[in-house]
Amino acid sequence: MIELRSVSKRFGEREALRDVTLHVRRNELLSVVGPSGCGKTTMLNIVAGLCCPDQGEIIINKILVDGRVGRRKIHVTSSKRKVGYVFQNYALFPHMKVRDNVAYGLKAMHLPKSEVRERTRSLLGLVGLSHYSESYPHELSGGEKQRVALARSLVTNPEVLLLDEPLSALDTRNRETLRTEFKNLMKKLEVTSIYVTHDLSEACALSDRIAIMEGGRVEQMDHCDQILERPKSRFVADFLGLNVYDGRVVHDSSGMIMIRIGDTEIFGPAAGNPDGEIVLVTLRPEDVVLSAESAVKNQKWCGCTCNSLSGTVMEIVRMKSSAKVVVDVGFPMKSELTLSSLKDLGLTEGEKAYVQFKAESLNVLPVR
Amino acid sequence: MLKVPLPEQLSDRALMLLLGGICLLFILFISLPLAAVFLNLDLEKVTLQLKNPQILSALTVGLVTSFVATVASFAFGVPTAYLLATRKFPGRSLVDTILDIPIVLPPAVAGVALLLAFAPRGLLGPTLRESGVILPGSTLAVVLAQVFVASPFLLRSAKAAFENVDRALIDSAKILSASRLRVFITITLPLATHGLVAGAIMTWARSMGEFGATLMFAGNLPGVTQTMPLAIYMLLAEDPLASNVLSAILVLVSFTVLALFRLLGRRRYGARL
Repeated sequence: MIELRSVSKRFGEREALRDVTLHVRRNELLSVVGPSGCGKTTMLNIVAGLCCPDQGEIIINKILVDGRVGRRKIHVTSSKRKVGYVFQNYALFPHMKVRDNVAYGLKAMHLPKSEVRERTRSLLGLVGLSHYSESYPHELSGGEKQRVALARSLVTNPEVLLLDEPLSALDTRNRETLRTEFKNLMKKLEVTSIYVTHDLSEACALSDRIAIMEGGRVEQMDHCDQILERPKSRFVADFLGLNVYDGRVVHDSSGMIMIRIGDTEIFGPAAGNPDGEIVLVTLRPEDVVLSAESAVKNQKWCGCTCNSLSGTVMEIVRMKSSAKVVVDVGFPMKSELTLSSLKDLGLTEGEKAYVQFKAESLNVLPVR
Repeated sequence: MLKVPLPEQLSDRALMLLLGGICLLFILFISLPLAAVFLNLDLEKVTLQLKNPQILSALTVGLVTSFVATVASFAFGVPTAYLLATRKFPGRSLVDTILDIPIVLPPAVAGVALLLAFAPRGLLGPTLRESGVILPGSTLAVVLAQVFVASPFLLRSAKAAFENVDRALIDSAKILSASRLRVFITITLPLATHGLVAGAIMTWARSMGEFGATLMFAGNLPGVTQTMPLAIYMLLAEDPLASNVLSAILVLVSFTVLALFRLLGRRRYGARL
């Protein structure tokens, strides 16, 4: 279990962490996601004991490792925290063979030679690199290096594992393979972990809960689905690539909740927002259905309050397995669909199109 | 069909010719005097001169003092470089600058400074005399002059070597429960070795060639303080051939040192150690 209580850290004028509070449950893998410079690595370094927080407390497995007891300042050094750390650029010792890299922590703990040998062999076997034990790091590929780094961090049986963008230096294919291996390994080893990444899909694939950071602050921490459906701030919604609009709540004469965005009015979910309230509206591009006709044809939507707006296709971006289409409906609205759906629709830029989405798909937040 | 060169190609060729010409002149300017040192020598003359007692004693004094000076520079320079490279403290930049001064100081000024500090009438002179130590005219003074002038080369090289050790490697070792000493011995030192050895080689070469400060502070006593450069200077008038042989030895030493230096510079952890 890892707990951060109101942790703050400054580097000169820059506030790297601002009042960060989070809790990682026992044997949980929490992913921390955010753009570069948002404080993710600083947070890991503080948990690892590589730097001290200016304020706040860090608790690892019910032991206060940073903080104050009365007037006494507590800082347990990194060598005594029982943490494993996997660095972004591997940080393998270039002058040591793979087996010496993995055995380093065990030798530092002055364990008997036979145990060092046995545990090193076992960990190299676990990450599938037994036959590379006599190689030097420069003789390995990126993926193999990262496996060695993982084996080295796990060999000392750490209570906590910290991973700082461990897959970011790898190519897409290696990244996906290693991601699956990491996930299986984590499940098997049951170690409390914090996984830092800037890739949201990686975070969602690896962990149940994710924390999104911005400007040294945790903006939102929740289950992946919950964050995607109900982002709690403009930053989170923007970061997730959702449609984000400023609107005003308008109750029509029939009692329906409408939201006015610019000159356009759309049905909103019944959430009890007062009339005239300024709100932030978010909508997942996957929930926006494109159609060449104005009538809502989706059978699954029967009984739902549906919005249907017409507009002009502004931009079509084809990706590996999906496409993003931006339609101007008085404001730009992104829709994500499969490549085959795009082909079926036969849309081109500048053409007229209809966007349809359920009122319940909208996430409405009061603007603070 | 006849090809007419474009003005652009012409100007390119002219520029290359100009650069090549400048480069050639420069190479000649450096290599001609170096070649001249060896032109009048043959193996017989060199063998004969190597039996000359003055040459032998200058060689011995030069080799012994430069070796001791290198060891002393290493002993003081490496810990200082480590401190400067890894710790922040008030006045660090000032300390760094002070320790670098001998590199740019004219050797004669270094000699005067050493005299004013350690000669019998200098700052520490009376104290040293009471302890029975009179430096000028002693072999120890030669070593001190060499350390003063050459140690900054080691310091600079060692500092750069320590600074270049990836911080993540050190952090990684610390997290793996290694003590500071273990991190230093198993990570920092092996990874900085190239820089330390390169610094030591430069320091040794500079010590071997030291002239001005040694002459002013230690004097020119054959067999005691007369190093190779001093002997070259003294022999130039009375025995030009001996002076030539000693010069040739120093040129060879310099060449070997630079070759070693380049070899070390090329060896990285991309290749197996």
